[in-house]
Order: sequence, then C-alpha cells, then structure tokens
Amino acid sequence: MNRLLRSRFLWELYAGYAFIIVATAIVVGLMLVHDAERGVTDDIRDALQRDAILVRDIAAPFVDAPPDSAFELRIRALGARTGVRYTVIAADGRVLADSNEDPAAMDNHRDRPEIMAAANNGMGTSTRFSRTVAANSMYLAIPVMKQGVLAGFVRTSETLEAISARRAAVRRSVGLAMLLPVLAALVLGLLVARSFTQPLINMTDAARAVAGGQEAPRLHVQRPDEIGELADALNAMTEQLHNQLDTMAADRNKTLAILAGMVEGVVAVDRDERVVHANAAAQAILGIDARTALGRRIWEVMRVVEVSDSLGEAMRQNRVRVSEVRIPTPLKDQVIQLTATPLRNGADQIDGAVVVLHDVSELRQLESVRRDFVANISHELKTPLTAIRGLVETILDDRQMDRDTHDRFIEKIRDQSTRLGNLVSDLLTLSRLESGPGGLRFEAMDLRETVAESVRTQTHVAETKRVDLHLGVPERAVTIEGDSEAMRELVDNLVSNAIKYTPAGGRVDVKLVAENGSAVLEVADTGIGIPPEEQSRVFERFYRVDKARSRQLGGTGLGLSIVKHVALAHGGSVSLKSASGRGSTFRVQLGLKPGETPRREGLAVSQ
Amino acid sequence: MTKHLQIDLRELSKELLTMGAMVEEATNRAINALVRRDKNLAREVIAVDDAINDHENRIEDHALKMLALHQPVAADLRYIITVLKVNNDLERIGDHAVAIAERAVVLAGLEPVPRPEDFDLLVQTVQRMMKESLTALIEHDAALARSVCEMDDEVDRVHRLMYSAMQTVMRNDVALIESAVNTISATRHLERIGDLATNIAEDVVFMVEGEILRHNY
Repeated sequence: MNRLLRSRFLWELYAGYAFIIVATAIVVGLMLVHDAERGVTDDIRDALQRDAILVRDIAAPFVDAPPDSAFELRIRALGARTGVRYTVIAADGRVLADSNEDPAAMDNHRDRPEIMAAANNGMGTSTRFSRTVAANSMYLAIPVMKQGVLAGFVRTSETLEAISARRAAVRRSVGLAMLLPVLAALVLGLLVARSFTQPLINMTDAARAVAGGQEAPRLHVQRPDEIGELADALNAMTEQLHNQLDTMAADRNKTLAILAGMVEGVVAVDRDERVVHANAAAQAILGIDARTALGRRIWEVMRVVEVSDSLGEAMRQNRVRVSEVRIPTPLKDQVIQLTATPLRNGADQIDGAVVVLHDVSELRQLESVRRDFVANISHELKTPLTAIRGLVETILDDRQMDRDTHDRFIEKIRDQSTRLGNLVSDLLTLSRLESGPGGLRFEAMDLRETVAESVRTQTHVAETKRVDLHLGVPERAVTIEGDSEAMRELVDNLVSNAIKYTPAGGRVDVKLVAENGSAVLEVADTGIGIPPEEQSRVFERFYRVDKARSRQLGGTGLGLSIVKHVALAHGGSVSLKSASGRGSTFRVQLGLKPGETPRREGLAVSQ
Repeated sequence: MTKHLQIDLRELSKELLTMGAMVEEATNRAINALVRRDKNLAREVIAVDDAINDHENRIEDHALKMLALHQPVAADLRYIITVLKVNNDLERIGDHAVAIAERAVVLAGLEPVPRPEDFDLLVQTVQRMMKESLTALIEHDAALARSVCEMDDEVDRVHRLMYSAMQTVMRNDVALIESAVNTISATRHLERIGDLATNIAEDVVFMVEGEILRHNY
C-alpha cells in the first residue's frame, strides 16, 4: 500500500482527474451560490419595496402635515409587528416617524444615498452601516407624490444579519450538494487509477525478481485489456526464462559431473592464463586445490612447467599440442600425457585453452616391462646356451680329453640344460596362468596337504643350508577351490625363495591359517630382506633385486611372478612386508571354498 | 608507463616462477634418482642444468632492463630486487641438484648403504622448504616464509645426524666407505639447498615487509 501511494504513475494518472473534478465543483458551486445570493437580495428588496408601497399609502396624509404622535405610534407598532424598520421622511429631509427611533433625535436624512436616489429616480437602495440599529442594513426609499409634487419619502430597511443567515443557509446546502458527488468521484477515480497501477507495480516486482535471478511468483492479473496482456506476456517470459535457466543448470551440472567423473585431469584457462576449471583428477595430479586456484594464473598455482607451457603455446600457435611430462614421485615417475587445445569463442577468437592430463604411467610401465621381458628372456636363454655350446665345442675339438674332464663337462651341460628346462617350464606356467583361468583345472583341495608336501620336499635343502624350517597348519582342513599343480608351484616358489635368501643359521616360518573366510599362507624368513623401493617390482618377470646373487643361487627370476599370477588367477592377492636386513614376509590370501567356511560365516554369506 | 611496468612485472613473475618450477623439478628428480638409484633419471637432471642457467640469465637481463627503463620505487623496486636475489638462489639450488644427481649416478653403481630413517626426514623437509618458499614468494606470504626459515634448524640437525650415521657405517664395513662418502656429499648438497630455500624465504619477508631478516635465523 505504501508503494502504491508513492507510485508516480498513480499520481500522474490521478492528479489531473482530481483537479478537474475539484475545479469544476468549485466553479459550479460558486456560480450557484452567487446566483442564489443574488436571488436572496432581490427577494429582500422586493419585500422592502412592497412594504414601502404599503406604508406610503398609510403615510401619504401625514407627510406634509405637522408631526403627529398617533401616526408615529402607528408606524412604530407596524415596525414591531413585521420586524422591518420603517422611516417616514418629509421632502426636506426631516424625519417624521421611525419604527425604531424617536424622530426628533434623528438627523436630517436629505443627504442619505437612498433618499437622493429616490428623489431622482423614483426609488433608491443602499446598503450600509446603520448607527441607529448598529448593524449593516439594506435601505430602500421611494418618494411620496401628491399631485405630481414630491411630498416626502418612505424608507424601509432590514438589517443584513437576516440576509447573511439566509445566504449562509444557501451556501451550506449548495456546498453539501457539491461535496458528496465530488467525494464519490474522487474515491472512484482513485480506485480506477489503483486498478491500473497495482498490476504495474506487481509486474515491476516480478520483472525485478527475475532479473535478480530469484524465483518470481506467477502474476494474477485478470484483465481483458493491454495490462492483462502485458501480465500474460510477462508470465510466459518468466516461465520460458525459468525453463531455460533450469536447462542450463542441468546441462552445467551434467558437464561438471562428467568432468568430475573423468579419470583424465582437465584444466581450463582463459586468455590471461587464469584457471577457470580444474577437475578432481587434475587437482590430484598437479597437487592443486580448485578452491584457491580458480581465477589465478596457472603458473602461480602449480609447478609443472610443461603444463603452463603447453597451454600458452596452444593459445599462441592456435593448434592442438600433445606432449608428455614426467612428474617424479618417491616410488616411480608419473608419466602424464598432455593434450592442450585452444578454445575459441563465437567470434572464432582464441578465448583460452584446455589441457587434458592423461596418466600414461601404467602404459609406459607395461611397455618397458614388455621391452625388458624380451631383452631378459633372450639373455636368460642365451646364457646357458652359450655355456652348452662352448662346452660341446671344447669336447668336439679336444679328442684326447681325459675321462674326468669329459665327465665334468657333460655334467655341466646337463646342469645348464636343466636350467634351460626350468626356465622354459616356468615360462610355460606363466603363459598358462596369463592366458586366463581356462588353463587351470579348479577342484576342491586341502591347502594343508599342498603346503605340507612342499615343505617336506624342501626340508632336505633347508637342512643342507642349516636353515631352520618350521611349518604351522591348523587342525581343520583348509579347503579352497583351486588348481593343485599351480598351488604347489606357488608354495614351492615361496618356500624355496625363503630358504634361498636366508643365510645359514636363519629361520623360515611357513604358516597356514583360515580366517574371515579366507586362507592365509605366510612365509616369513630372516633373510637379507628387500629394500622398500624394490618391493613393488619384485613380482615383475625377471626382476631381481641383486642380479648376480640371484643367478648364483640358481633362480630363473620368474618365481615371484608365478606366485603373483597363481594368486591372482585364484582370485587372491599377495603382499610383502620387508625391511633391508631384517627378512621378508610374503602373505598370500585366497578365498575359502564357500561350503567349507565355518558355520557362522556360512550364515553371514547366505544372508 | 605504469601499465607497461605492470605488464613487465607480471612477465617477470612468470619467468621467475617458471625458473622456480624447473629448479624444484630438478631437485625432486635428483632426490628421487638418489633414493631410487636411478641413473637415467639422474642424467636427465644433469642435462637440464643448461636450460636452468639460460633461464637465469634471461631473468637477470629482463630485471636489469626493467630497473633501467622504469626506474621503479618502493614495493616495485623491492620486488625486482627480490626477483634478482631469488633468481640467483634458484640457480645455485639447480647446481646443487646437479651435484646430487652426479652423486646418484656414482652411488647407483656402488653397494647400497643402509640409509638411516632420518634421511627420509631430511629429504622431505628440504622438499617442503623448496615448495613452501616458492609458495610464499607467489602468495607474498611472509608468515609462511618465516615458517620455512624455522624448518632450517631441523635440516641442520638431521644433517649432523647423517654425518655420525655414515661414520658408523664406515667403521663397521670398509667396503662401504666409497658409498658412505658419496652419501655424505649428497646430504651436504641437500643441506645447502635447505639453506638457499631459507634465503629465498628471507627475501620474501624483505619483499613483503621491507624488513631485512638475513642472519637472524
């Protein structure tokens, strides 16, 4: 309502209308009052004139006679009865009789304006202050004629109080008669003006709210005219705008969700190299925080020169730029492929750039593993072959070789070919494991038997090396679903490795337990241990912590790789805990055969 | 005039931060090469040193030109002077990174020495000092710079510990003397990098507050 009263439109619309109404009312009222007042004056004059004519007849015999007290009394009585003042005046101006006053005490009235006018024109009126009655009075005088000669005057007068009272009554009724319709017109006008202004105010509010991005209520303007149409148009526009905003917000959220879900890092910068977006992956790779990085220059928030360089160059040269950067971390280098693309705006000008960070560490790692594998396998195959060829050639060349040397050479050839055979069978095992579970025959088996059998066959080796070999297995069967040959291979490799790398006087503990639905095999030794930085690589094929020592101990470099692949093929996992000089503990975890798990857990599984 | 100065200052910041990033990367690579006994990584660090030196010259050239051309005063002057000093410190950190990389190449061919756990702490602290002194420079953050200055005490302490640890190694196993000596040398360079990072942090405090902090820590 306040807003409504302050509305300029309302007052512009209403002021002219109100002015016209009020002005018309005033003019008409004044004219009416004026007319009515003139009528009142005329009425009074007419009455005075009639009275004067009547009194003239009465007074005519006395005007030229000497003063007569009976006549005087009669005039006085007449005046008292009618409330009108009568004065009879001789032609020379002497007052002969007066209804209100003693004529003897009165002045000569010859010079009164109404008398003078009556002498000249036959009738005179005058309105002035009367000392006699001490009030404004209207006077009317007519001459008294006898045989065409002026004999005297009769004057009637009435005080204006009576006139004023009647005038006031006239004004009051005119005023009242005008006021009611004017008020009605003003109120009606205000209502009409308001019915125009209020919808406009509402529409303005709604438009402002929409412009300010707020939820605007639907406008309810039920009018058949242009204002109604405007409100409908505004409603339609608001709805359209809301739909578009909703669509845009949904699109934006979708895009953000896609960006956030990407494995690749995405960083976008504007023309000034300020960060406009960095998804979660990019934040992790570059070690930045989007909350603080947004709006700042890319080279201020991260220290990988290649990233800002590639963004800058993509913008300057207007082309896609692909490069690779290595970010060193304590364990291995992170290799990131950068694809920087310039961003163009609608006018095809460069408006920024976006760089996609693709972590290709694993790819590069695999490539290098493959490369290494080929190199390693060639080397591993070549070494015994070279030895065998050398030995054979020596035997062929030296026909006179003595029996002992000959036998020793033949033995060496056997050793080397055994080693080749081991290598090839290990490779075959690996390839069988890698070709997937199809190469394995899964059946229920008791892991205790496999472990015990393996330890039994290696007890001799351990004794020879003076290594204390201990076995711990539970009383109940530890049944898993697995390929017994592959499992044997796994346990053999772990146990023989442990014995191999444990110096004389050391101890190897082989422990099998069933816990939480899985079988856990732990092989702990007190050997030389594996340095932390090597631990992630010992499961790689042909990877040896100490190449010379390993080969000297007769390893193929494939043992742990086989362990890992067997465990993975059985849905299990291998982990390693070790410290340099303090021994290593390999832990293999495999799922128990569901039916064979302890009852309580069986229930848990069925739930 | 002022606008040109602002553009030049921004360009200079970018060059310096690029330099900082290059040196930080070289340091991290050298340290990783040392820890991982990775000769190839170490050789990469040695190879990148020329680029760092070129960059230092370029920044110095640029900064001197700005001083001559714009004759800046107050904060701008302090900033350019800080850039010159930090630039110099960064170049020397780069040299130490190369020295560490050279030790790493040698050490990769030798019997490994058992590294005391404090070594990792030394490495981490120096890496953190490098990173945070540069962050303080970018952010004009005097408080962070002061905290970097305080970290230097820790580096000095661990450095002394490393000395005694390596002495023990040498006493116990004569075969490890060469490795231990090289390790000490690498540690010494690490400690110097910590000192230079402290210098940078002090320069940042000077730039932000106009107060000369040197030799207070």
